[in-house]
Amino acid sequence: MLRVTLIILLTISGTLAFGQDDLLADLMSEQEPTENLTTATFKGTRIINGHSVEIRKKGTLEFIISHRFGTLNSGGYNLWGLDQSNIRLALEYAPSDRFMFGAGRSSFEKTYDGFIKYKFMRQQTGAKTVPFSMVYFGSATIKTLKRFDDYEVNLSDKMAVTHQILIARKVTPALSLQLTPSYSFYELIEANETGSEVIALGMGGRLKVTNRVTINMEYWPQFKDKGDQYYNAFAVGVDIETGGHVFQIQLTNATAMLEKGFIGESTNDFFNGDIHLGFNISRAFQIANH
Amino acid sequence: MIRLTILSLLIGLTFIANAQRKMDNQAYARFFSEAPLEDIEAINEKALGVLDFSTGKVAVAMNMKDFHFEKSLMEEHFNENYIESDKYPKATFAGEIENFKASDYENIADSLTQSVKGKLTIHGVTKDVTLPITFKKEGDMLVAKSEFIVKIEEYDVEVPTLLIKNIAEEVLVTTIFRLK
Repeated sequence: MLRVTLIILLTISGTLAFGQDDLLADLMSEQEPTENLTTATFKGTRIINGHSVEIRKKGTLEFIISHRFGTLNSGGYNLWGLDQSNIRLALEYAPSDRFMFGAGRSSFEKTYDGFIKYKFMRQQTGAKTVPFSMVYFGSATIKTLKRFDDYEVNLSDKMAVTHQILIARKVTPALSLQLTPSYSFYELIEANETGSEVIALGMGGRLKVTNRVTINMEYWPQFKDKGDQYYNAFAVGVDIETGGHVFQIQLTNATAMLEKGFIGESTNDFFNGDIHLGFNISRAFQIANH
Repeated sequence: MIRLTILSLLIGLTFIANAQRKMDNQAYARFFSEAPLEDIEAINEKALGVLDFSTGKVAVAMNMKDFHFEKSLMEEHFNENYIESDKYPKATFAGEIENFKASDYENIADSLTQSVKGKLTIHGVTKDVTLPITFKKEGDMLVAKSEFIVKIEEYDVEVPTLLIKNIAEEVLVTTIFRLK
């Protein structure tokens, strides 16, 4: 009888002790698994030249100033390219967490551009697991630079459109990778060009060095004969984040900052030293509630 | 027979233990910081809190990603750069109300202020703390409110010198639990 009492007492005290120590564990097990969306796969809406899967949060207006200087191998007389500068000014807005659009103007070939971006798949864990984020990206550009020959062109001849599917995964908090199948169509084929289409597969990634600094890389091999004058775009860069700003500094062989330009019309060879120093600066404003 | 008795006793006890727990699974937590350039406020309305009336033990847990800010970029930076919620997804507290007597809570006239001693874990760092907690009755609910200061440095949250004017070193935390 004594034994039984002892057992009972021990069990009771054991249960009580167990119950006490695990109050926090009990509490945590109460929590239902929620949707845990992966955030900040990349710091900016661009990896370097190309778009990343990032969509700004609802109600965010972003002002982006991008620069590409001349090539480093243009010599000391041109201050290694710094005398020359191409600039793109753009305003980009996200009316929802999944959708954004923007418009910009590049000094290179006096080009206007507009784009839309829609995130149709979001990487997440928790209630359900989705391994990737996927985004559709579409852009249209109009080149308004006056022609040097007398060839008559109408408005549509000046246009090019690009469609892309951005597929990215934040593999670890530090490492994110992205593949970007890309298709561009050019209305007008110049005499020295090989076709009106460019098909490419962008490969990009970022590696966090600290919480606020990442190293980024990007390569855009093309799948159709691109002729002798064009090179695949390559870029390496650094992202530095300071509060509401993201600074991106890069080295790239691309002069243009638009998809149709840097993917299909880069005429510089990175490995020959035709490298442009460049930077993107973005400033985000919260103009509507999110 | 004895086994049965033990079993029923045990089941009964577990039951009692649970019945003596009051919890809130939609508790409110807010933090507020005041810096020369910017006031920062974030609110979490999905926190969990429990008080065990058989022991006076208290536990609180919340997901850092459930804190929402007015500026979405701030929210991203909070998760990515400061609190590192991928690595440290939760803040927790486990403690015990000092000089706890369950009978004190049966008839609270106006309010009852107690102190609760325990371990507060934020950003993977655990500190021993003693926090004030005030109880009030609202119908059949017991409302517990606690307000305290957290020094972010103590929890290894780094603020770059460049942003020292935007982010305060001390953060006021307010939590409200509606226990039932």
